[in-house]
Amino acid sequence: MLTFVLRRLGILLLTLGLVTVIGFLLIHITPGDPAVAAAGPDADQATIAATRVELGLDRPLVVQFWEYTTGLVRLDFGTSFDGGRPVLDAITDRLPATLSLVIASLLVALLISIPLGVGTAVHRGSIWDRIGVLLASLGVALPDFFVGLVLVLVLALQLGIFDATGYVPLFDDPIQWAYLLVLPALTLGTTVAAELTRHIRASVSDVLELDYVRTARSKGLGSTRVILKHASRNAAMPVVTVFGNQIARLLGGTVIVEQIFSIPGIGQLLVQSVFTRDIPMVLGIGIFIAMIVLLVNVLIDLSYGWLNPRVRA
Amino acid sequence: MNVTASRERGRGLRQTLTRGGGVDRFRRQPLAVAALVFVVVITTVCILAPLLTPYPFDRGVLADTLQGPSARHPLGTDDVGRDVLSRLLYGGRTTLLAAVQATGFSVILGVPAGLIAAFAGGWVDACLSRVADAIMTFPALLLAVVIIGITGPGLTNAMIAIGVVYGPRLFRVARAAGLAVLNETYIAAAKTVGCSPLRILMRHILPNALSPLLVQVSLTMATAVLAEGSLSFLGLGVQPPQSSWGAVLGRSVPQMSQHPVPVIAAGVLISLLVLSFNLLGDGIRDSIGRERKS
Amino acid sequence: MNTDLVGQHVLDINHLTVEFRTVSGWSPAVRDLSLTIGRNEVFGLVGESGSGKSVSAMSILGLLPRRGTRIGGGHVRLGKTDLLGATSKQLDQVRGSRVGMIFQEPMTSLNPAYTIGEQIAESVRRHRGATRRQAWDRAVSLLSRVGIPTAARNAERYPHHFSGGMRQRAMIAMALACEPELLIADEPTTALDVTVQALILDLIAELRAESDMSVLLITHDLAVVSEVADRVGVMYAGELVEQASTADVFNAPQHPYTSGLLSSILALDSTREFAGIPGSVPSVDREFPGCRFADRCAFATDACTISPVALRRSAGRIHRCLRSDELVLEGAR
Repeated sequence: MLTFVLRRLGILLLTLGLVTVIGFLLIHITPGDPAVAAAGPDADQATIAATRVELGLDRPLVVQFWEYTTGLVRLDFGTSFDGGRPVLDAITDRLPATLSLVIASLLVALLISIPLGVGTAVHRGSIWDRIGVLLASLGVALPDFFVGLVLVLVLALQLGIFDATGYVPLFDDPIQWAYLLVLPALTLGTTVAAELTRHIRASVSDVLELDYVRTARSKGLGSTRVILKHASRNAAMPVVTVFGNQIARLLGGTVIVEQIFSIPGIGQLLVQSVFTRDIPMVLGIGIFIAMIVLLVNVLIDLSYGWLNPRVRA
Repeated sequence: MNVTASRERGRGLRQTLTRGGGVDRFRRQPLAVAALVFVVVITTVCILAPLLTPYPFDRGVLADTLQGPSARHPLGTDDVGRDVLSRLLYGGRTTLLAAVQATGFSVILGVPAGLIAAFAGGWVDACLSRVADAIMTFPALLLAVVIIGITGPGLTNAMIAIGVVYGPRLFRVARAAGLAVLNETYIAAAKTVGCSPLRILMRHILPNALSPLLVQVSLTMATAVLAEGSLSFLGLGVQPPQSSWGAVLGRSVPQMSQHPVPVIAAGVLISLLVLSFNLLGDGIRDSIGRERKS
Repeated sequence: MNTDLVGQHVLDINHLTVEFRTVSGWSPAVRDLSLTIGRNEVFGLVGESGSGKSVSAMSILGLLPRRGTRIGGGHVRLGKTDLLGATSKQLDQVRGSRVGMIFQEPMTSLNPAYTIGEQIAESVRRHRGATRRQAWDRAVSLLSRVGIPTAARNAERYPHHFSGGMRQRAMIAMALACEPELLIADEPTTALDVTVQALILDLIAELRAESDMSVLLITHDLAVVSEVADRVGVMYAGELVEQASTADVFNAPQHPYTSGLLSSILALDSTREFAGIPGSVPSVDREFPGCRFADRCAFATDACTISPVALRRSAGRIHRCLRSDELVLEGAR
């Protein structure tokens, strides 16, 4: 178990390293001088040169890379081109909004996918199964932005049930916070739910064919208990693996959804930074997200131990 | 298993794909066939866009801005008076081309690396596999946005980014197919007879890897269409006045409450194309999947 | 009915037909099966794989997959309870409580995610309404009864810590948790080593001796049956072809198929099932005008292939062979 987690941790640290290296190299290989971007649109040659020295961009690449990575270890993500603000500060400012969105979406995804996935697996081949599978295929194909816009069009603009856009911090007004999160969470949650449903269905119907499920039935436990106790825990193993990918996908989706619903989160910050060519910010957000993905994956690996006693040994 | 029997099987799989049972099985799946028809029709219509559309995609008539659907403009006009249908037809070319670019790029990245990993084994395999795992854990769209953020907006950059992100999937399929075939006795036989590695690769491994690769290519096309849509929607993909489905959709959002038609039309097109590529991939997988079981 | 049977029937299977969905429609995998098991009796049901013996056992407790299978007709009664007509709720009250079941694969029949003790105790909790503590204690004493050493500690371990023989013992403990009237053992020793097989059979025989439990023992191995069964039924291609006391079947079989089976247990090559009979069991959807065994039978005549052979009874024995009076078939002894 320990070696397993260490191995996975190694892979994830490698991810982090790769993102840093690729990002760093791209900045310097691709045309366009970061100093020009940093100095601003109207800067003259002297200002650009001064900015270059000031940001340390005139030094050898290896030195810059070393400084950047050692900074990362101290959780120093560098400073923004835009006003010289520490990148990490900007990110942590935006974190609560993104976190709210991700958690709410996850909730929506699980609330939809677990009943639908288990239900279709248990009643495999029935008309409900076919409808469920069709819905899931549709859901996988629907782009986040389209789902979001249709929800806004119908539920906000036509029916006026929800506000189209906006965000209120949780501690300012919990009710308004939840109310404003409904549409974004539905948007992001349904697409993730579709993918999860497919996996849950496949996994549960595989497990239901297994010998020990038959044993459980032969003990007279009743179908609900057989499914909830004996099938679910083992069916959860492959699903949990997919779940990790889906959380990654959810984080990616925040970029789109925060844009549509004007949620001041990390995704929105990323897109703004791309437009303003704020390279340290872009790279910093990339690495920050990689760290979160890393953390989620470690948690998921640990959950295997609980799900499957064999891993614990 | 003797050499001839194994070779027969290798050939059998190839036939499955080209004319044998696989095509028949594929034909028996109405959804997959419908998907294929949709992809072919859309591709043809978009290629023929200059012949089919009476309006240019990049110039509008300022007097005709933001019109609703009419006989002259079936899907209305956009905020600078351009015909939405024409922009969608031209935009489809960009979208499809971008998806092909991204998928092609991930094939070029993933397949040779996968075959090398399978052939070389040992630390080469370990390194390549770890890198592939590493890339796959990262959210695809975010990685693409970050890469664009560093290299600057533009469709080609965007699609290279998407290609990098999906390369590992093709890497895995190619590696798995390579490994499966490598363990067969007839490869050892071919080696002893003195076949060059390239010949072994072309004659034995690629035909066997082709069907699973085709499945993955189809699924990657779907994700690439989605990614193009997302990036262009954000304004990070195609740059004006170029058109693509994502760009048409993104540009129409501000006027959505009064003029929802362009948003819905572009969204439906993207969704259908993604769905079609997904169903196509599933259909191919089912056609070869049953072959294996029997 | 069987006149030699003393006491009341625990299990009464009457004209049971079970059908599978095949490409050509519904085909019977078990046709017109009738048998009874008396109190404290061990009944051995024998046949090759595909003969329908496991399907019969599964249908008793309604464990066949809902898709692709259906009951074509007949009755299954446990005491006074009609099992085929029972609702799933009623069935759940029978399963694990009045009927215990053990399966062929001890490696896969236990849930890897729960401890052995928990898997036994949950049955006790479900049927006896016992508390967690009581059920656990019962699980430990059951494990100890079936020969698991240091049962208290082993109850807390997971199936993957157990060997095949120990798992099958645990399965038996689970099946016996609520002192069932009937134990259905579906190929309980097939997946085990020969030495372990004997131990498990001894255990089943012991447990039966110390209670009034009946056993339906399903196996392809006549040697297994000869050790523990009181009576034997032989199935072929979905039909019962012979039924009699174990001694009668072994000494003087009345059906050529039984005779073939018996000659095969003498063959040393135990990896080859039924070396004595050429060919293999026909698939479910194949139709025969006459005797279903005729084309593999060394004694078949034209008369055998004309019309279906009905069950014949004589002197407490049942068989399904037209020529039984003229043939003198070889037994095992």
